[in-house]
Formats: sequence, C-alpha cells, structure tokens
Amino acid sequence: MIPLRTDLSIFRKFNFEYAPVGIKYLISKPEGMEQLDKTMALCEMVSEVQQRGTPFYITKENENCGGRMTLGMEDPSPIAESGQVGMKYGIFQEPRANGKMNKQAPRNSTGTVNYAVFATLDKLTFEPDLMIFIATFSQAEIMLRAASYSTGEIWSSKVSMVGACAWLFTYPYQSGNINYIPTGMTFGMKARKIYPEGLISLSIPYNWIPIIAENLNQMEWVLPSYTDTREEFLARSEKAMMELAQEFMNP
Amino acid sequence: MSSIQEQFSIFKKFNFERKPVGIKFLLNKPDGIEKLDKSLTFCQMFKEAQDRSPFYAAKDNFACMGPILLGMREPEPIALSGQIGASDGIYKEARANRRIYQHIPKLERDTVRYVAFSPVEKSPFDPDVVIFTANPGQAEILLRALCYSTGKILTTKTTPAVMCAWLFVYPFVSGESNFSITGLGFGMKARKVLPEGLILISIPYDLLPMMIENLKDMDWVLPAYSVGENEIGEYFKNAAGEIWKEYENG
Repeated sequence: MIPLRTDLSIFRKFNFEYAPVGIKYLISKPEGMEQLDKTMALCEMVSEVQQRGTPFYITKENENCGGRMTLGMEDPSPIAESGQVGMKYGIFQEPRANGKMNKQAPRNSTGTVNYAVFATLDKLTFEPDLMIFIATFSQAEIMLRAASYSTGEIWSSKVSMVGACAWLFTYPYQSGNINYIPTGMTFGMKARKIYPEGLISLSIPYNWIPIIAENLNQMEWVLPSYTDTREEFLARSEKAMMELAQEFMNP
Repeated sequence: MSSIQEQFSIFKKFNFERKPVGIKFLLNKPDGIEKLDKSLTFCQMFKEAQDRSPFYAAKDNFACMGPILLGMREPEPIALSGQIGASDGIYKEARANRRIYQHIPKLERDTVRYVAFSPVEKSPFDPDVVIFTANPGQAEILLRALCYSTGKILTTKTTPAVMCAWLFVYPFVSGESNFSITGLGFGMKARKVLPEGLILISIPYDLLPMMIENLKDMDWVLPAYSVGENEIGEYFKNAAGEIWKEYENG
C-alpha cells in the first residue's frame, strides 16, 4: 500500500460525529494489519471501524451479505442474481424486478479484490481508494459544494433499494464519481439500524479527495447568505446583481 | 372528488406534514384557477402551493431563474457566463459556474406561458410533475414504490445553484424521477424555504400510475424493519436458509 501522502487534515475541522473512513482494495494481503475477527455485512464494516478505532482488513470469509460479490471476492450465487432474495423480504414484487436491478449493480471482476482495508481518518496510513463520510445535511452541503466549487460538477447520485453497498463501495471506485445516499433509504442499512435516519453517506473516490480537500481550504464553509435573514439575503442579492450589471455595462 | 383527486387519494395515508404539490406546464391560460397575486421564486411557489388553493403563475410572477428555465425569456450573459454563482461564493470562479448551464434542463422558448400549482388532494388538473416533501421514512416508501415492480436504479441529479431546474423541469422533460435534500441547494437554503433534512421527490406524470399501483400492492413497512437490532442477523440467516432450501429442492 502506498503510504498516505495527501493532506487530509482539513476534514478534521468538521468534527464529524462518525469518523471518516478510508478504504483500500487489494489483491494481496496487507502487511502489519489485523484481520477482522467476525463476520458481518459490508455496510456494517464502516460503522465497525468507527467503533473500534483500529484499522482492519477483511476477506470474503468476513462478509455475510452481498458485499463480497460487489467487491469481486466471489461470484454471485444464482439465488441472489435471479432476484429471489429481494422478493423474499418484500422489497420487490417479483424476482424479475430484483434480477433487473442486480444486472445494473456495479461489481468488480471476481478475484480482483481479495482484501479490503478499513481505517478511520486518524489512523489512516495509506492512500485510500475511497473515503466514506457519514455527515449531517449541513456538513454534506459543504462537502458537495467543495466538489463543485472549482469544477462546476453536477451532483448526481445512484442507488438501488437493496444492495446499496454496490453503489457506496464499488460504483465510486469504478466510475470515479462521487456518490451520496441519505441514511434510512436502503433496505440492508435500514433493517440493520446501522446509522440513524437523517444523515448522508458520502462516498468519495480517490481522484476527488485532493480536489475537495484543496477547495475546503479555500472556500467559505458557511456562505454569508446562509446566515442572513430572508430580508438581508434579498438585499444582498439585489446589491450583487446591480454590481454585476454595472460591471457588465462598463466592461 | 374528481377522478384525479381519487387517483391520488392513497397519498393521504402518509399524513405528510407538507402536502404533495402537482405542477402543470401550460401554453394557454388555465380556466377556473386564479392567478398568483405576487412575485416569487419557483421554489417559493411550490412551498406556497402546499398551503393554499390552486393558482397559476405567469412570467411576471416569477422571480429568480424561473422564466429562463421555463423558456419564457433568454438568459442574460451575466447569468450564463457564471458571474452570479461566483459572486455568491458558491463557485471559486465564473468558469466553474458557467459549466452547469450546459447541463441544466430548460423548456423550449415560448412553449410554456403559465404554470399551474395545486396540492394534489385538491388538484383540478392532471399534473405533469408531482413533488413530495417527505421525511426519510416516508421517502423510503415512495422511492421503494418506484422500484417494487421495476427494479429501477434511482438516479438523482442536481446542482448547488438552480436546483429548481432539477426538481421541476428535469422530471418533466426526461420522464425520470429525481430527488433532492433540503439544505443542499443554495437558493432554497438561503431563502429558508424549507427546513433542512427533508427529501424532495419529483415524479413525472408517466411514472405516477405505476407508483400508485405499487403503493397499493406492497408492504409499506417491511417486516425486517420491525426486527430488533440484535435479532436482525438471525432473521437474515433464516430467510437465506429458506431460499437455499427452496433452491436445492427446486
């Protein structure tokens, strides 16, 4: 694993209730790190490392839901792929709907990821492939705005009602796109009560981390308009528009 | 109750704190609906419609970017060049802000002269788009209803500025659902239109019948959601065991 080189210290300023988590996908076993000593769903592992505070790695033996399939640790079973599971839980009307969804869910090629390493920000010693943030709406607004601040990036998210892990853990890694999902919206995480409703899970792939960190260092986190009263905001907008119009008329 | 109101009556079961609003984009003035008597932004009109009888808005009622999105007037170079977002501090430079205008959905010039708004429970018209203001629990049910029979992947699109384009116009022109979260978009946040943390779900007319049908058919609260934190592992294990057994005897 390449040692951490990116300056991530700006993320500490948020004082997140749940520590940001860095994740690395590996084909070979990581050195100097312990394997998780129990089994759980992939979506629970972020919460697990937040609670433990010490980094760990997992193999397919540690994962007991669909996570090992989306990561590429194992081939999907015919039962899962055909869509039986979602109907069993009442999420879908018929297996065909669940099966259709499965076909669109991103997954790494089998055998390309045999280990996944999890570490909280304060224990992160490697360059992460992606970082997962559990943020309040205000924190998420700042993080997402930081992505767009210098780039004009459109905010887009993708998710399925079941197998949300594919969209949080694999989609950003494969596509290079940021993804975000409000907590309480997807089956597995809601049923397992991993996080309370009213937060946002933000998954940031490695290519976006330096951009967001740099923009967070430069931009105003709380825009003046957000602390204005409604009347102050309207006056501010009018003044700004008049100034822009004046500049435009006198180029 | 009209057939339209009857069609939407299932939404009453949610007991939404803020009513779902139907919107109709019109070339000609609607009959039997009064004109809005003030000037508001598009997002404020939607909020206004939650608490009053149906109304329509014309070009002179719209403040902010509404008339541009609706094709009622051409955008000014000041907006299109990205000056406003930079001036508001949303974007570092105008060049970042101007990029969003390549993506923002707009209606063709002069094809819409009026927009009608109504709470769906009173709607005198068949809406083009219905917008729900839901808490996360209600949103989970509404979004699941979009996927229940279809397996649809939910995709959302928005921008930090001009979020109204993605909430009101995008579902109409694309036929795709969209959702956003209050507190993320600049204009609505600065204007304090709605409190933070609500999910705004926009559904175009062509997805509504399927969604309503699914709401009638599906469990609103799935059995797994009522299982305790300590028992859920066992619940999933048992369910998986049953599915495997069926498969092996299949």
